[in-house]
Amino acid sequence: MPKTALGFLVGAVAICGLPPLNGFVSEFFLYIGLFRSTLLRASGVWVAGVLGAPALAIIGALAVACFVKVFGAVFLGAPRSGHVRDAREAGASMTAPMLMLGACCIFIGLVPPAIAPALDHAVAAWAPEATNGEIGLASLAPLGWLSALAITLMALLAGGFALFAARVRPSRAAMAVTWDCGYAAPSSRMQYTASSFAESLVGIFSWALHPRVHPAKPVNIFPRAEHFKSEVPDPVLDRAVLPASHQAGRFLVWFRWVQHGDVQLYIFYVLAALVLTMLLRR
Amino acid sequence: MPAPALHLLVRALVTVMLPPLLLGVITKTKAKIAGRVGAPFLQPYYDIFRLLRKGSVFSTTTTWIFRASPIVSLITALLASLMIPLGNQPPAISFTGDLVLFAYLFGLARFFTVSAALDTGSAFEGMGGAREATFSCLSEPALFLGLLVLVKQSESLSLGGMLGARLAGVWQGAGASTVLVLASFFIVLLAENCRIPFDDPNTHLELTMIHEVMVLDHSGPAFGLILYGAALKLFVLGAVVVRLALPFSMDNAWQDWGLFVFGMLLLSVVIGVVESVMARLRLRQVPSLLVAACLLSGFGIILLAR
Repeated sequence: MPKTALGFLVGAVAICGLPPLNGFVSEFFLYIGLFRSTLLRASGVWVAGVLGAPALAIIGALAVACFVKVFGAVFLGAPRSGHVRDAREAGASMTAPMLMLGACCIFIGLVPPAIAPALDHAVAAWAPEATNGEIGLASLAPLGWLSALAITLMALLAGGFALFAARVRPSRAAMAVTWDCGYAAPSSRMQYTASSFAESLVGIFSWALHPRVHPAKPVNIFPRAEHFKSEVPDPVLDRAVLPASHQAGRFLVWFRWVQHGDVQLYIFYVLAALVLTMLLRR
Repeated sequence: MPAPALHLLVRALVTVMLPPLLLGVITKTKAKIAGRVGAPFLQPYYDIFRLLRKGSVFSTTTTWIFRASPIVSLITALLASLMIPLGNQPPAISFTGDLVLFAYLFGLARFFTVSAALDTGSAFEGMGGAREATFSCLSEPALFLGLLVLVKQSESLSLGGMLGARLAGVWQGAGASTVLVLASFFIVLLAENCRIPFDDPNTHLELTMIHEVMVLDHSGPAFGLILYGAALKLFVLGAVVVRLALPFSMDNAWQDWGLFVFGMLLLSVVIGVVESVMARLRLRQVPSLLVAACLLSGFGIILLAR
């Protein structure tokens, strides 16, 4: 699925905030703001930058780890199942929107000055007092340099790859199985999976993530076939939001009599609410 | 020829020619300490040229991602080299916030190197990629904390200003935090370039490696480009460390160049000595050392906050 893979790759690089795509332009604004705030004399403000910039750096590195993992597990390596091996590219009506969005990522990344006026309008609508209608993004961040370097980077990458591909053609090169330290028949089951890729990273943050491992230890001298499974529950959704909403649901059962499906009574609720607000208003 | 153009030419020559020599000096230092004669200083050049002339072998599972990753690593390192001052020489390109682009170019290279490792479908390369992705989550904040200290010291938002002519004055004013950043950056340099105690570039046991195991399947010209790109990355990050350690300006520009090259060679010797006297850390302990690098720079900021 080369087109889907290409679209996903562009999106992944962009969302990781890597140059030369649009995500980098956004992160660049954030970093510039954070670094500038560290230079302010006002006490307290610069702490935001001191804490924010390294936090953004960790988030950036985690995003790279996360999206390389997804991209690698889904699109790269040997197919892990028959479904994947027989996967075919979707039709143009499904790939075209993806490639168009990818083209937007590339365009904003290469020519950030083109979208600066639109952002200025948005900032002016959000916080008119901060801009005074004069200071534009173009004067705060060197968008011209960003644009020039992004185009240079893209051109060098494309040119370098074209040169290299012309010099080293797969059709002329020898093809072989992946080197697996002398093992003659590496199979797709030996590949790193997404969870094994994340294992060491999850290990570092196990104090927050609490990964669950279900090991099935082989017993006896001739053990049966066993399975190993590990999962990382989402600490926000699985450990906080879902249990909390579950509890709230149990509590809200008491109010279920209000909701009975009788339209006339619902209209009465509306009337009662209106009268009440009018009374309170006075 | 006008002087600035001449120095840009010297800059290009030094950037292109010097990096493999650093690897040669490191290897020679390790050999001398171990009592061996060691490979010649120019061995990395011979290796790279030999690889560039060789044919290639590609794994049948690989795609264009695998072939693109050496190019991405090389080009991003080359672009990053334009933004740093070499010794007392100003950078070729300098603008507000170039430090962010500098750091993120290496992120782009990492994205493609790890993707290429996963592209082969090898268990070992997946392992190396996982380690690289894990450790970068700790070395990136260390790098940014160090850059924050330099930003705050110099009140400049470009690498050229942060590491520019005023650096010597900064040493006198805020020497303590500069020493802390220097130590932190040295640790980051060793981690990012996969030197001992993080990784052993000479080992041939795939289980213990990080960077070398990710590029196991690259061969011929692709591997030559990877070797050269790695040397260039060492050169670029090394130049930052050298500038921090030797913030002097000499009488004229040529002596500045001499001081810079001397500093880079000295740094290589220091790395060689570190590699000779230390063993590789156990993988479980690597995060601790990287967190220590973050903390060093963090204390550097606290010292500036008075």
